[in-house]
Amino acid sequence: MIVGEAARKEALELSLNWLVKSIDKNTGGSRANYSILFNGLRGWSGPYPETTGYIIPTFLSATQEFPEYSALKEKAHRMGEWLLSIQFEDGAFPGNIYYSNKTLEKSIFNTGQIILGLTSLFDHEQDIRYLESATRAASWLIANQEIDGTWKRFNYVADFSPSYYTRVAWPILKVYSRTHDDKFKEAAINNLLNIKTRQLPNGFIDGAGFKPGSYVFLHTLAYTIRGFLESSFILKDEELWNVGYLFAEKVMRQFEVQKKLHGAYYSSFKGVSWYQCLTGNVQMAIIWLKIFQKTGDARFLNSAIKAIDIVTKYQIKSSLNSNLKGAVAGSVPIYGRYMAFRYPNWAVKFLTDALILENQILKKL
Amino acid sequence: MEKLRVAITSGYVASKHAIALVHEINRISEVEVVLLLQVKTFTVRRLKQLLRMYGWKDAWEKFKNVFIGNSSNRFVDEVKPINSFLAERKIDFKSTNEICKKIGAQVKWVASLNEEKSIAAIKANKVDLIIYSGGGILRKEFIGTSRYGVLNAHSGPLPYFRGMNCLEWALFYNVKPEVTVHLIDSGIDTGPILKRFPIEIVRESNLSSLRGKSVVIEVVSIVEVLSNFQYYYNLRTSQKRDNGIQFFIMHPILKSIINNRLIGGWMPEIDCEEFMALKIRD
Repeated sequence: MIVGEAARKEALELSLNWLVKSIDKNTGGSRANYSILFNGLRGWSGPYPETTGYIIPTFLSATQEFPEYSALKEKAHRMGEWLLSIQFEDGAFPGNIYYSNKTLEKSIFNTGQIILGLTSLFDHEQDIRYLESATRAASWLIANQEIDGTWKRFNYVADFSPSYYTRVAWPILKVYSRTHDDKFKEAAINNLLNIKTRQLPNGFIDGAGFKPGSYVFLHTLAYTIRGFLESSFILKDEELWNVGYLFAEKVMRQFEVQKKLHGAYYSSFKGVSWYQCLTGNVQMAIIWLKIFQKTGDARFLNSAIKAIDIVTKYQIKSSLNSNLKGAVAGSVPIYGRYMAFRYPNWAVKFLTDALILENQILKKL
Repeated sequence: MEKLRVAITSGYVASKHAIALVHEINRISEVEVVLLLQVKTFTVRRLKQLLRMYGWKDAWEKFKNVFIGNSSNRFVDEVKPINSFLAERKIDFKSTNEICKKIGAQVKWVASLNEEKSIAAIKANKVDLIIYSGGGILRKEFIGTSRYGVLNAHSGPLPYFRGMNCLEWALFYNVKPEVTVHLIDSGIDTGPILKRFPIEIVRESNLSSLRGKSVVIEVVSIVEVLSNFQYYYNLRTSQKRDNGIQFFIMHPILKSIINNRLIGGWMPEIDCEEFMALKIRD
């Protein structure tokens, strides 16, 4: 028995149960967050197309890894069906939290994240509808792309094409690797090469935050790195790998020396240290685990395990409010700047992904 | 021929490692222990440092082992080898103070090895060489105070495994463990190497017993180098910065994986050079 094995199993079970609890009964989508302060007495927000999209591969890999969770296949399927039903005619998907009485707005980033769910459903079910939907979505993305590889419209902040859009290039490449249509590959590379020019000599990638010229939450910092790494895997491109690796390695060293990851960072790597962004911790853990898988450098595995520890420590193990059991806060302390007073579904999603990947790696050692 | 004048640092007053070093070094005819720099354990800075390094659970267990003599916690196997070493040599001093009094070496209590008081004591005692036996991170000024610098026994094979838990990291990579005697410079375990000593693994070892064994080998290897210091000093080789990796504190999960391997009778197989062929780079 490996030290901590039982605690990890418990964390995984808590996480998957909470994600199931997050599912909206009417739509089948996963609700964005739980928060009595923000959502009133019902506690739950509406379902969130973006994160529903990327929770699909989480559920599917859980069923592959642990047969006892096979019921999640049906949940993932239902999530996919809901996403198909809300896709715009032109292939775009809506941003923001979904409320049936509100106007839906198209979103570049959220469309990208939903493609991740659709392609993984296609891989598992071989249902062509999912690939067709993903292809239409990717086509909409590249139709709205500027010549320099950025996006000017349908952004979170108008006219600001952030560096975490590497995580839009990655889903476009997912479509490319299934359709072999070079236009997707070219569009993704165009975006990645543009963002690559934003890398500073210290490894930091400028513009990785929600707003230009501001500090960067660990959450979007990790998005940026992950986009480079995943794209490099698909393209077998060492140059893109090196961009992500350099950034990830700097964050790893900071983490080991300071014993924590800060809630946000400035481009000098100075941290905003009064709070932690928990989802960012597990997102970095996933990145480090992937670096270990590729390089065999166990320092990354070591840091990943420590980062997962931090989040499992703060995961709610028991509560009189059953909606909180298994939840992970946006920030520690709860009033920290990142998703203050809320328990987002993506924090638990990334924790689950990290736990599954960590388990895959550790059982081979 | 003049004797080599040696100072020894000590991380805490009951340090068995430091007591063993003082005793064994003092037996070498060409060497004289003239000074012991005793770092105060119970300062806020020190306690913070220890907690950062070990976490409060391990720090408390280690404290119990050292100061209470607790025989039921998981560090028991770790202290057994040094206890046996002391018993075999009939070294029964309970503190660094006690042994220094016996051999006539000065004891200087300092809050930090880098403080002025410590440097002044080294100069006043005309120290040729400092032996590091704990006490925190050293600054350049301290390192440059004595004629030959600061000698350290590192628990991993240098230049390859630098930093923390290098015995464990070597084992993780299936590399035969070694202790390296080297001079400390301003980098982390990057100073010139005098000699490497293998740590023999016997079947039925576990990680704690092996770590305990490496502590004894650290003492023995320092004594061997000091017994013929000029010879080893002249043979010292510089390290290339990019020939090694700096490791950090190993997570208990990884330690437990290595421990399970050892208990199962596994033995590391590869040499450091083969490890470097894996092309893991700092």
